[in-house]
Amino acid sequence: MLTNYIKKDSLIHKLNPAVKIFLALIIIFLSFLIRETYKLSLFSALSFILAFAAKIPKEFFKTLGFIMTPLLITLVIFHGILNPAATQVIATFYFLSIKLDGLIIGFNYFAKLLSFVSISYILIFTTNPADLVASLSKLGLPKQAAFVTLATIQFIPLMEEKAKKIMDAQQARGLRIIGGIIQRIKAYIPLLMPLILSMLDEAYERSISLELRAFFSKNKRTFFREELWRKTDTITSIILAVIVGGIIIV
Amino acid sequence: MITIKNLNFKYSGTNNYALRNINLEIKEGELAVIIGSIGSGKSTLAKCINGLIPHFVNGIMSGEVEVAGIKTADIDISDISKIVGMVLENPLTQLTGYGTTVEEEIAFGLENLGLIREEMKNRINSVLKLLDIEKIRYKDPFDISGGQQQRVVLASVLAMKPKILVLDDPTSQLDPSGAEEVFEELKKLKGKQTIILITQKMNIIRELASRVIVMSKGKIVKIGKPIEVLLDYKLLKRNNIEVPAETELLYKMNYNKKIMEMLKV
Ligand SMILES: Nc1ncnc2c1ncn2[C@@H]1O[C@H](COP(=O)(O)OP(=O)(O)OP(=O)(O)O)[C@@H](O)[C@H]1O
Ligand SMILES: [Mg+2]
Repeated sequence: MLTNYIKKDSLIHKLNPAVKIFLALIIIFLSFLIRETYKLSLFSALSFILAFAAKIPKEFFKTLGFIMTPLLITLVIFHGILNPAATQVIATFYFLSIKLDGLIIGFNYFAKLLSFVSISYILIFTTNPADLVASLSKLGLPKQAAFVTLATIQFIPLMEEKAKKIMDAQQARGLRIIGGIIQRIKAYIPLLMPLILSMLDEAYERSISLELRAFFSKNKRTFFREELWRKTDTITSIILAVIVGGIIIV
Repeated sequence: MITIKNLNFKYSGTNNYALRNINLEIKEGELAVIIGSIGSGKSTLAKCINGLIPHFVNGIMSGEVEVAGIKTADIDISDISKIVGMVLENPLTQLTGYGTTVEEEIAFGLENLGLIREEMKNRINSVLKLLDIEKIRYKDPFDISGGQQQRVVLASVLAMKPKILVLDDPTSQLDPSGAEEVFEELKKLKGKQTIILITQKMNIIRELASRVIVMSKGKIVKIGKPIEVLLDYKLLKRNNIEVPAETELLYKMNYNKKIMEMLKV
């Protein structure tokens, strides 16, 4: 499959996608609005719990670590050391001083990012992409926009797969990726051009395929998969609303 | 079923015409095979039949293309897609990835046509049965063999019930057994559906084609029965087309000329 969707039999997977979309939108919105680091962390904690409930903790934390670790390091260095507005020095190495207030700002930004990245991945990992697109269109998003969303979700796994293929091919032709960091980065440069070109080519072919399957037809679209609103959806929505409300108030 | 009159096409940004003065008539139920060397214009002609030219691809077009009595220039691609179904080389870029099962992949085009669920189910059942891929119905389309993927693409296109099916080198990215799977499906469809097949696989032509169209440098240089074309050593050589081993042999033994003469009478 081209998406990050992880097929599992769980309560979270079975939720109506609209519930997850709303939850994600609300948390993303609040992540930008809310300042307190602890509240933001509670939102992330909620996503973490959902990851366990969805039986995908391994994949979830692996992806999160992969994306968030570089961000954490960058933010800590940037705000803890380089932010000129920060003043409270807690430690000094040679000419670099680490500042507490800078660190706090850095962690706050990190908490914001973590909160909305976490919930986004819960949505993507646990929602069948067809349902996601269907729900988005039913919620009023034009189908083109809904499909762009899907294409974006598909883009990363596709790119990874392509990169791996091209790298294998280049290694088979004697490209060696070893040595120090600079050498490694240099070694990846020949990978980039073919990667970008083939992605563009494929994007073109993909858009042709969509045309041929009447995607841009002016007909009103129908949906094959049945989407039901179950009692559990109502109950879960209420519980989630209470939790999110609680986090805002505390 | 398909009528092409004085068709010329030049891609924007290029100097040479990719198609020159194409005239072609394809009847209902025919299985016409187009052969020709690399860059001879086969895919460009296919794009003209399904409306990608002039609706999607930029360039200069003159002449007329009619499918099922309708001029392609006059209607949208999405409407043409109900008349002309198209299968391309690479199954991976033709699977939309929209659904997570084969069944949902097939449903994608039907959803776009706005069909009701019952009708979708009926059509999905019948194409799965026709192509004998019922057992992969609930499989992930990205998790099956290339041959199976191409059959799913074919199923997705057939479910839209096109009157004409155009296949542009549908087996070039498949291994021999995958290619065989796809050709087996075409044998089933032969006669029930108007089909245009572009392929490099000479051995399949003899079995499948009702007519062979030979293209070179943007022109149609020959339209004939499979045997007429396959045994014409000079025609194939002149147009840089792979010569079947038998033809080569016959030519070297000088039988070829006699056979050609026999065929003419
Ligand atoms: N999108 C494009 N833009 C510009 N020129 C193109 C484009 N597509 C094809 N051409 C050119 O048009 C000519 C015909 O190409 P076409 O793809 O129709 O050939 P083909 O017979 O399908 O070849 P192949 O056997 O490689 O598939 C070639 O000279 C090609 O370079
Ligand atoms: Mg071609």
